[in-house]
Amino acid sequence: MKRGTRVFILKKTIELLLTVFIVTILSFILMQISPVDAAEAYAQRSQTPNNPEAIEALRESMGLNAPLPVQYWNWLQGAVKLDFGVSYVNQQDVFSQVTTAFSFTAKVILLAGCIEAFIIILLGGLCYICRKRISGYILSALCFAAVSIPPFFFASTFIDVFAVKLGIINVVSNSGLLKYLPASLCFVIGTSAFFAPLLAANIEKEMKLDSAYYARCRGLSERRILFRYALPTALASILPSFFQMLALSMTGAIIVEQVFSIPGLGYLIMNGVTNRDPPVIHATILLLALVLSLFNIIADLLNRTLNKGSINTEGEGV
Amino acid sequence: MKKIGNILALAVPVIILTLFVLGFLFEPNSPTKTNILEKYAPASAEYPFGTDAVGRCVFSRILEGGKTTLGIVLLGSAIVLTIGITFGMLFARTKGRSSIISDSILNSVTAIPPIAYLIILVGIWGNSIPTMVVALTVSLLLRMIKLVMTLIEAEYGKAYIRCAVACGAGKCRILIIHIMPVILKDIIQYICLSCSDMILAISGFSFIGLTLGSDVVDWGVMLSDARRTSAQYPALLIYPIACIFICSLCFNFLGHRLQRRDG
Repeated sequence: MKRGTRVFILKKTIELLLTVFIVTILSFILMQISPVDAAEAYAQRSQTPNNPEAIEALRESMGLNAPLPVQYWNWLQGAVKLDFGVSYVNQQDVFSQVTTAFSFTAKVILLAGCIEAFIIILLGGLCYICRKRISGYILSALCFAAVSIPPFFFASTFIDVFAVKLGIINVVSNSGLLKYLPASLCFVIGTSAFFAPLLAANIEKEMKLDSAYYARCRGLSERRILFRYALPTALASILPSFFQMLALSMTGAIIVEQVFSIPGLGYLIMNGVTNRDPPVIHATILLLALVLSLFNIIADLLNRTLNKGSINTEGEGV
Repeated sequence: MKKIGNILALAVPVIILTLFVLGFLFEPNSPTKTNILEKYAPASAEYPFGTDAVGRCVFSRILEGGKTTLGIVLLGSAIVLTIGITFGMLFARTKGRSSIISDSILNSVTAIPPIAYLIILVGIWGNSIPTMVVALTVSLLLRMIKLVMTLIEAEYGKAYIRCAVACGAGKCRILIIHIMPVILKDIIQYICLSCSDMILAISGFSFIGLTLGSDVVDWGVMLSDARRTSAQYPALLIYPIACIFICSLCFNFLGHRLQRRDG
């Protein structure tokens, strides 16, 4: 068992490094064959005389003339020391920019995750309890429909209705966690709607198992079986995919943030794209890859530990 | 009776999606022709859904947007299906051996969700129809290959394959005639669910301003145009969002129906 754990950790570390390596290489190659040249874009912005010699000098000073492997190696050396250079737009340190932006996105996602967990349990339980009634069918149909509505539409509707029309909330000046609540809620709807029927189906499966049957024979009440045995197991089985979903929300956040004008990763990427700012784009992509694969590893880890548990309780693995 | 219901449940979304794809053939007006004299016209025989802020026919734009969005998604899926299945079959290990190197490379490449690859590609190249098709293909392809490989490896251990091997069937024959029909359902299910995500992503990008091109019509652009006047003319907002919703729902529904029942 000890050895298995060590192999698992080693394998996951290699995978993490490989992922980051492949993704950053990809972003360099793509940047190289990009139709718009970063130096030209910079020249246009900074009113450098737009003649070929000036742009060529600019390219030289930006290090864009070096062959791709050299560029990558230079960048990698800096990246290891957390030095990602300065942005070509505002001459600020990229690392501090990216970490600030990340903290905004992380707040939105974490807040969404907490609310989601709560609502999924509530809604999933409700779906299970009403599963044979008309209300249950309506509930699961609603959940099914809610998955198909884009989160950015919730976001824009939210702003149009609550901020513009009713003037209840002020999107700009709210402070604290309240500021991120609307953005988080946009994810909560879709994700909860996705997981609640899943949870209900899992609970139903658990309640039909032999173990539940024996528990009934022992005279335990249906409610006790549900809360003591079925619900925890059902929750454990959706936990890994829940973590993967959180990682997915991270990428979805890029669009929703834009609507709420939260200066998160989405803002950074969008700005980097419109201004052709390679240092910012590379650093953001690196961070994105790192966080996503970390979430993935957490999901794997959970899967591993929880599966081990279920094998122990059931006596024999399937 | 139940069988008819099953066929109907698959046929209805397919027909709806086909209508959206081919709808552009029936455009009553040009989707980009402006007519400033008739802005915000109510629904009429000439303009079935009315006109927008610069007098363009909303109905025609909806149909054109369907062609753009669904065209990208379906073209991308077709490429992913062909290449993914071919390579998946080529790479699938049928001997039960597993190599740590190829495994970890494949795992690390697929560790990032397809949408993230989409963002990286769109982020660096900017948005346009070819970029979107390439991005969609690249992002889904790796997962597709992995899925096909996993499915084939799972099928290979089963008894009916051993019987086929005992009867002297070659590897090609087993893969194409015996395994393909079984796993095709799972593959198409995966593609359907991804298509639904992709529709949301494509319209999301053009909604926040990364448009597909200056004169390309798609639902995300229509939404962001309509948002400016949503208080006075909410209908302009409702048509595109309803289309996004219906298409995404159709793909989700198809994926859901195709899910293999236990056993």
